[in-house]
Amino acid sequence: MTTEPVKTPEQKRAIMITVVILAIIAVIGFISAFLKQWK
Amino acid sequence: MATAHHDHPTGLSRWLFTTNHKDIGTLYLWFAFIMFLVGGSMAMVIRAELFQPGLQFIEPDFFNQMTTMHALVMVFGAVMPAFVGLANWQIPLMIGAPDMALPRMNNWSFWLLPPAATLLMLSLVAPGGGPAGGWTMYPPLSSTPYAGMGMDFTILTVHMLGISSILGSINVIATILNMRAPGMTLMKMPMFVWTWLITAFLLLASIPVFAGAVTMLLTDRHFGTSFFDAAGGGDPVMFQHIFWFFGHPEVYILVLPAFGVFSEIIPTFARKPLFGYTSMVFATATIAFLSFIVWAHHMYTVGMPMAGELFFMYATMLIAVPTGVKVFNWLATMWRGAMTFETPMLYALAGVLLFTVGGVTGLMMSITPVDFQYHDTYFIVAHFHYTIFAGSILGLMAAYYYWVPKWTGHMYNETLGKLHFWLTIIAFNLTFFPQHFLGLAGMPRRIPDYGLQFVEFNQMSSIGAFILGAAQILWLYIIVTTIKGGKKATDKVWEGSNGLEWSVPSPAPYHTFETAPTVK
Repeated sequence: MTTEPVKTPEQKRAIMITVVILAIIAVIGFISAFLKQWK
Repeated sequence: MATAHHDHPTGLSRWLFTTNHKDIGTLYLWFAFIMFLVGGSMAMVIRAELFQPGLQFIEPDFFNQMTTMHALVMVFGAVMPAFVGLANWQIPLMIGAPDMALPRMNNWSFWLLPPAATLLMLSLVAPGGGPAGGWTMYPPLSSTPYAGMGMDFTILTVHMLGISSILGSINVIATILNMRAPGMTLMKMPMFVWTWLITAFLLLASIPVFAGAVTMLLTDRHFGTSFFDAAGGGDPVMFQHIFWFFGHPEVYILVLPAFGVFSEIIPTFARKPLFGYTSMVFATATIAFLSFIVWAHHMYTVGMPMAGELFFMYATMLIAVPTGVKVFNWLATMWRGAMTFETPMLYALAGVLLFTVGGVTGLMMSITPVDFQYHDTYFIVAHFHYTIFAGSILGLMAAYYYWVPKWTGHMYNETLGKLHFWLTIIAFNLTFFPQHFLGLAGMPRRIPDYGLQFVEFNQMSSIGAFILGAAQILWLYIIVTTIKGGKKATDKVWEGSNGLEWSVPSPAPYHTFETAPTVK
């Protein structure tokens, strides 16, 4: 593995929060496709 | 920020295990180029068959597999990965970040692609052959028993490519929001970065919906559900709604990063700042929003209520407004600029001009009653090649010539670059402009045979396609020779270039911006 840049703890926390929010959006999108069937 | 050391593995392990954004960008770009040649070869098969009426070389079912695979390969294998490759190379360099926010996930996002592409190719040799119902995969064309095992391969391919795209878009958003150099506020970001930020949100909102749709298709095929099976109480038209809820944003996913490329190149070669930067940002965001409320213009002919048809017609027409803002801003940027016409600028200008031709035919198709004539004809094929080839692929070619000196440290051969440009542009127009007339005269798309009245335009189109294909071999030659040698590129490369990526040496070192630059 190549060397990776060192991130500050604040950056790491901000990135993690961003990732969690975006992952939730993706999961909602996936489920919404099914919800359209249950009208 | 600092890294522990500067060395990196060499050979195969460098590429397999790399977490470096430049290495991963290079992998994406090479993968996309190979898929571009594969998808292009399929187009050659299609155009060879259509050179004359009657069946010449291949069976109709294989012809349908070729049209389907050509689209899937070009959209998911070539254009999308190519723009992710550009994002990997350029976004950290343009925002002053040392790498992407999630480098190991970045590696995985790329390495999902080769197995997915292999699976898609293997569908051609699966029992029953590859997918043949069009890239839209409408049921019942994609249902059992009409589609064989190749469709399952395709569904799983879409899942893998979808996971890759979602991870990639999360990475892009996390990088842009959290890794910008001090002083680089959102409204100081280069337009390419802005267009990619908006594109990443489009990906995140649309790809999971598509993944849901193909999952339902899979369960319909093998697990006894009837989501899209009318015989079991399902609704095949619902698939079309869900598909195009993804599919229309998808076309903007393919073209918005190219708009970002045009917005970088035109100011450089006009030697003027981009006209209307703020309006460019808001126009891009508006296009992205509107792309989610126009999906049913792809399916006017299914029989929608009048109110629905009117809504989708007017919403579609509305997209011309922010798109027009962008085109006029590019024109205003060039107005009274000290313009020169190096290869990247030629590609950017041709991209804007020819994309606008595709935009105008798109506006024609947005008119519901008129679309009833155009639907499923070669007019549609002409239209979307003027948007996706002229917008996305000319944008990619422009980006290649613009940034390759920074990537390799060598200037490309300008004479060969211009030859590639003129061959591509002339052949592109020869291929696709006659298809407008074929469509208006009633030639349907996705058929291997046609009436005698369509012969001349089809022959022009096929000759154009063969030249277009051959021109890309020249591009491969230019790519290889530029990697191997050529005139040494300066750090700034272009006289009018501005931005952080031009402040690092050419070629860009393996690690850049280990200490964050300050942007004023």
